[in-house]
Amino acid sequence: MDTKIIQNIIASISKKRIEKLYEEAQAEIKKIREDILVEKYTVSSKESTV
Amino acid sequence: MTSFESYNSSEEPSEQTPAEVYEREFNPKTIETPAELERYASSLGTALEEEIEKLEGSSTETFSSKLKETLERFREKMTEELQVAFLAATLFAPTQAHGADVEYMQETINDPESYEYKVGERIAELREKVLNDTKETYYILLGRRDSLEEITRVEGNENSPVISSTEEETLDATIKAMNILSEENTSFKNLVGHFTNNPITHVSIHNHPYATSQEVFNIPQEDIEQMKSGEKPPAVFPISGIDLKSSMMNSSEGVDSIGYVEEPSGTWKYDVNEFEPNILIMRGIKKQTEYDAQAIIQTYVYSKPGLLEEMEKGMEGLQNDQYYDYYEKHHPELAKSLMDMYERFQQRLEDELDKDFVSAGKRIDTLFDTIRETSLAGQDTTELIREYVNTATDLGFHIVYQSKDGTLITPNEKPEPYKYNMDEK
Repeated sequence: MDTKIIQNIIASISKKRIEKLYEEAQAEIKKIREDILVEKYTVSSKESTV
Repeated sequence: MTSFESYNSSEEPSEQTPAEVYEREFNPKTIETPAELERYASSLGTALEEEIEKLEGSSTETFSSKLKETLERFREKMTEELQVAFLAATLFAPTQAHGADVEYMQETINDPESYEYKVGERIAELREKVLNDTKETYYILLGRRDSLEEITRVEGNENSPVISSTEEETLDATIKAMNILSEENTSFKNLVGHFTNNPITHVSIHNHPYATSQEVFNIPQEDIEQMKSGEKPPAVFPISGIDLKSSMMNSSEGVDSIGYVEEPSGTWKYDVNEFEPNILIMRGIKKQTEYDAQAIIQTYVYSKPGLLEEMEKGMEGLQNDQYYDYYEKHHPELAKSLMDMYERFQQRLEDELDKDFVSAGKRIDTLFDTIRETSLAGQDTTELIREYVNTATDLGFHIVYQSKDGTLITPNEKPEPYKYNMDEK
């Protein structure tokens, strides 16, 4: 099989894997964002209760 | 609106999908080289950074440090991934330099009496040996048809065009062949020889460095014409720069040719920039990874009647970076095999490769591009080439060079790493 084909496949896989890493990082950020919001909401609730 | 919703809506950072980042940041239609992949990865990193920046204003120190850690982790993984991508691209780099030869061979390969057919047989034999023995390095020497006869003569075996199977033999035979050719051509100057790196490719001796370089490095035809006519200074091409990288990965040696120019008369003449080392003989490490990969893909493809044709058909309209998606959609089993193969490949690199070695390889790669660009810009490349040569030497590659009087200076017998000394010019 043409090595060019294999090379193209590899490039395609590399791109895919990099995008996966990006999405994983995004998911982590999303989780942290939610934690931030939860904390703020909690603080804000406490303040309004006080 | 609750307080939570209020926070949520006002502070929602604009998440970007990879496709959006790709669309926005990456102008070329497709990713074709690892360098472009690196650019894309860098854009993704920036997109993450933007997301994080938007959040940092409203986060506490703890969250801020978590965000930074996430970004850091992403960058680390990305670097590793890119390293693999670079090496993979190198490993699987097609032998563009030999397009014409390959085409010719394909045309004649079915004729058992043809020279190419016999070469093919020998390649298969050697390949088998290599597959069964990872410790020894084998080489195959091929060349253009006219050169080959001479090489065969050197070996005194007209029936076996493949002249050697070991490092020393190959080097020796190459030098002999070059000498013969140089006598015939009044100089050794019109020869560009290089070793590629594995038993299914070859060492080639050919005399069209521009054609080679143009194919490999996408040099505009206009530039080539201008160089030929003398309007532009000749480019300095480490012609088998790609092989240099591949050689590191595979096992063999490469010869790097630097600086050839075609005179307007059409005679190839060694040049350029009065930089003497025109050949680098490199020594790498043996890797079977590419055979593994090819074997996996081939076995799978050939076990499914019609798949190869379908793959080729499917590829017609695809860009380089769309192949995997295509397979995932139409041939999930193959996609999985490919991904598994890639992961094994990555693991293997991690297990077997020295990180410094890899980064030095990348440095060479960058230097190589810089040399080309600098040369095309008509600027002096001596210092860059010096660094290029020294970097290769530091990696343990052998360097053989040609002195000004045309003598090919080589290390003796089994060469020890040879440090090129610019003062020897």
